[in-house]
Amino acid sequence: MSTLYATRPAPMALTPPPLARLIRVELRKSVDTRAGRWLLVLIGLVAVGAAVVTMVAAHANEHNFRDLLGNTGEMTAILLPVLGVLLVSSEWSQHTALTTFTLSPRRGRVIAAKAMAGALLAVAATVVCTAVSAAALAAAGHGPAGRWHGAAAAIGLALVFQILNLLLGVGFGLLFRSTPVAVVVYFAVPTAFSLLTGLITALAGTGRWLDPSTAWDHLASGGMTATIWAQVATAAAVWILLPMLIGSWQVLRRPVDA
Amino acid sequence: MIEISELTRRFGAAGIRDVSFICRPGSVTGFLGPNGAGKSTTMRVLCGLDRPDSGTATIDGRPYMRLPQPGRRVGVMLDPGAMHRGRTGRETLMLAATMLGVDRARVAEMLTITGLDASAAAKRVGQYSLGMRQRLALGLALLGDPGVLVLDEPANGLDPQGVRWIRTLLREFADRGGTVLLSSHLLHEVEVIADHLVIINNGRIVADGSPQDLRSSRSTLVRAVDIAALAAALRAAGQQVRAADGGDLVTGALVTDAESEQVGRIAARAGAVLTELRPQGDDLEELFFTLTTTEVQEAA
Repeated sequence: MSTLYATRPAPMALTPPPLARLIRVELRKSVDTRAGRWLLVLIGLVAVGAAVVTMVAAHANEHNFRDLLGNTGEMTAILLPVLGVLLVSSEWSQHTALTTFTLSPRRGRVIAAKAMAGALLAVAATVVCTAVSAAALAAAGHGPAGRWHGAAAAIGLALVFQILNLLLGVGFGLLFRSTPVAVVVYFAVPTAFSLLTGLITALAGTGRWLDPSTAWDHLASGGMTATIWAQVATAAAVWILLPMLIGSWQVLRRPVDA
Repeated sequence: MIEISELTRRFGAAGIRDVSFICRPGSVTGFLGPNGAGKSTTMRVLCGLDRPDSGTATIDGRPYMRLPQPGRRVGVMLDPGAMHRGRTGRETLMLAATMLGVDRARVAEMLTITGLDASAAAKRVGQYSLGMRQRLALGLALLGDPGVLVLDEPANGLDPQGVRWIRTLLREFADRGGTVLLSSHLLHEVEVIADHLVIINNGRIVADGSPQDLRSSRSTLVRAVDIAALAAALRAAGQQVRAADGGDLVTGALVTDAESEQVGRIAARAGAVLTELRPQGDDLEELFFTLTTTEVQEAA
């Protein structure tokens, strides 16, 4: 069985796998299972659906690129965190963490690769939403003047919005390391939080600073001000940075569960 | 070379304590012990998946975490269940090949070596039998063309041909200068290929040596009408005493390192009536059972 010894290298001459390679592996993991592929297809379909509904059902003054991109962005953003959750939690739900961390024992690099793969998937989602919105608008033929107005700025904001939503999922995945728990918490907790701050007027002021659904939605719907940017940042710190830090700390410190 | 030195990892009263042994290049080390004795814990700590409370475990003089590309130096198989059920066998290997930076042709070679044909490679792992999963996990361990193998119960779930296949594979690997550490709870699985045996029980190493060494470490098995009195007499005479093979020191037999004649003399002085007295040690299996049951008795 000489093939066992095909390419014996000098062991110490090897360098750790470059981060770009780990990111490529993480991207591949998100498309190489049926569940992963269907989720991506579903996100694409939601973008198309949102654009069609906007063109067919919405008032004609919404038939412009900014509103189309806002609507497709907001609709896909419901599913993007699930993609982020799966990037991380599937390692535990599918027991692959053991294999991943024996092949790449520097766990921090794996976490970084997952977060960056998540950001790249968010870029891809933005590209899809942009393309779908532009196609819908072009297909409609003539429309109100200035319907392409502010397209570049809208794409920039949509990109930030998508990245934040995807990283929210990555953070929840790191914190809970279980797909069902992370997904349920993602759907339940921010909604409950919004309801709470909506019902209790005393909390409404605080809510604007902490509730991602109010702060971040401005990225999709427009009307950004310095205060709203600050609110986007504080909500991101609470809902993305904090779960990511706590979750990463646990992944780095704790024994890898089989 | 694998060097494990005074490794301790506690889980309450369980875990491993002061585990030390060395696996040399060109040899197969059989790591034996009953389920729960600490084999997997030792291997997990060795592979950087768990931290020791104290002690060190190194491969080529470095902790696993500090190896620049551990997957290219050490092939690890700790749990054949650690694979995504929704990925195909080929894809599982392909992902690892990308991480390791090895040629894609190596994936096809591994499928051939492990005997997974084209239709098996295209199936999702969730549809695999335990034996197929075991083969794929071994392919994963061999993928990076390592010089060291760390395998936890590799023969589990394999049919007799599979067991024979893995024996040949590991023997050849070691004969070409590779270092193999493989665990098992079954002596007969490893005694055929291992040239070094390390036996662990209750988290402590209870024997370490070549099968020949272990066979020649003779002891004496004794039965008596009043076994407790005889045990006390032997202890008073400075001899080590253990209960034999799952028994206790009230009704069972005892094993001592003293020779038959010595035992006879001590028994005569104490007025103990012997019902059986025989040297043992030629039988590795008996030694294994003796070593792995007594500690439990003492701990109980």
